[in-house]
Amino acid sequence: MNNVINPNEQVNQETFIHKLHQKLGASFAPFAHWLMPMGYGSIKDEVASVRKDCGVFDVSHMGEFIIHGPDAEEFINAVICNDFEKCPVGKAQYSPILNNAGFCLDDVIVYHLAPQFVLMCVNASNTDKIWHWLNELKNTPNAKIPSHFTLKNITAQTALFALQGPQAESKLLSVFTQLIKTHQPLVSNNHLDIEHFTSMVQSLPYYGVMTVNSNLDDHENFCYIARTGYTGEDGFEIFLTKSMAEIFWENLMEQGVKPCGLAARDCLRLEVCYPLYGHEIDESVTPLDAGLKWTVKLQKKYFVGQDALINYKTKWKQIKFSIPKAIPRQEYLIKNSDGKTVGTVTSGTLSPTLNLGIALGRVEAQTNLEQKLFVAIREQLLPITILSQPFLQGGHK
Amino acid sequence: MSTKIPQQLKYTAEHEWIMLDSNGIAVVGITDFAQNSLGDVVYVELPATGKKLTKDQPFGVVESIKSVSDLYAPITGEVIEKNTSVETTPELINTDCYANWLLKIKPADIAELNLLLSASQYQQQVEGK
Repeated sequence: MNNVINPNEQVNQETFIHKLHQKLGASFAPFAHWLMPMGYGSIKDEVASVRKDCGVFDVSHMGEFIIHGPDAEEFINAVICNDFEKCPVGKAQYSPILNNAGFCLDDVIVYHLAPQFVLMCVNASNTDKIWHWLNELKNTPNAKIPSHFTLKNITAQTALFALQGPQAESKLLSVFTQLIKTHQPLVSNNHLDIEHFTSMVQSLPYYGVMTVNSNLDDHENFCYIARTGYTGEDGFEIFLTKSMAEIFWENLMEQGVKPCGLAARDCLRLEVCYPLYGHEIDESVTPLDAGLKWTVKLQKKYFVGQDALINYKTKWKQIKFSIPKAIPRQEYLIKNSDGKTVGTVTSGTLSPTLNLGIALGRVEAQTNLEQKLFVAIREQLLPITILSQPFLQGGHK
Repeated sequence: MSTKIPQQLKYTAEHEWIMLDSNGIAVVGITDFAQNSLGDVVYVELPATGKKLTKDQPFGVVESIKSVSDLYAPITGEVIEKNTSVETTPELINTDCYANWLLKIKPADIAELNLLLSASQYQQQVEGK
């Protein structure tokens, strides 16, 4: 029979502006139990727009938590392995979150919005897991983890757009100018002055974050803007109250910003070798196995998983490689010239910018990288070129 | 969305088209429905001349940026020729999937052609019953 919904099938959530994506002709696919726009036409064109001009991604499926109170900063520093003491108010920081055994539960960005006030953005696939984890850490008595703060899950009220590309700053300013002209509540309730706003955006450094709303307890009128992103280009991640999502998106479209989907997003992040949870990192690896040693600050006072990582002997190391014609994909095997498997591809695609097959892979830690290595694609063993730098630098500040 | 389904061709459930040319050679490609679902085709892998194919077995791939799609032999036979232009310029499949064939096969058993779908049968399949 047709049209009978299997009661055991989980229905995928739609983002706030699902209808606008449909209007633009998006093709959708489920991702982390969300029905997400994969693309709006040509993935190649979307990637090119971000590298040369400006594209926007609706990533409202991601999770957002607020950590607020006197112990907020100390709690964050205990939860992440990077050093939050090096992240002053007005800056953001990338870090994995580990379990007690040192394995990766997620990778997140924490935004230091104000004293005692931190925003954490988590992967959509890990929203529930990390929410429960943070609550467990807060509520389990532990001399090393403080508890004088509140946790708030604002995922259901928060739209998130990633505006990326060399023209992102100019487009962001044009959109806000329009929002002011048309008296949108977000800007009028926050008494937004365009000159002041412009100067703040222009001087926002890479990984800087600013708030449009002065009253951070006001959950109806919030807007946080960070100079962060997942593409390697200059750009912004804009967290805003869901009631503004449609108007904000439509203004972006009016400014000629190209709508881009998750397929293009995956190409862009791979071109600059950014990891994706579920691929380069998961609960079977520590950050030290996954090319993320730079995020692990063992000398910190304390973080969850620290004990396990002191004297940890890495099992894996991360490689980046290209092949001239074919396309490496996740789970394809990496072999040496004896045909022995030494690792697997964790992410792979065709780079539309470079016109090469590119991949991130995980090989046994002791693998000699001077030898010839190969990727097995169907019946062929194709020689891989290992790179020491990302495939692309990108134009981020 | 109306998909192009030329009347004179035969089809498989796996979205391939096939026709017998005047020399009795089967010419094979993928349908408009397939190329549209794939999006930009960026890589094509085809078997070499002389390779023996078995009906319904995978013989190559067509890849978009996001995914790998196996190609299945619509009939049993021997590869006479593969379209190297399509291997060099995969986007040709998006431009015109009926003009840009993939393989020419010498059929081992002409009777297998009767097992294929007609244009209207294929249309029913893609447009829902």
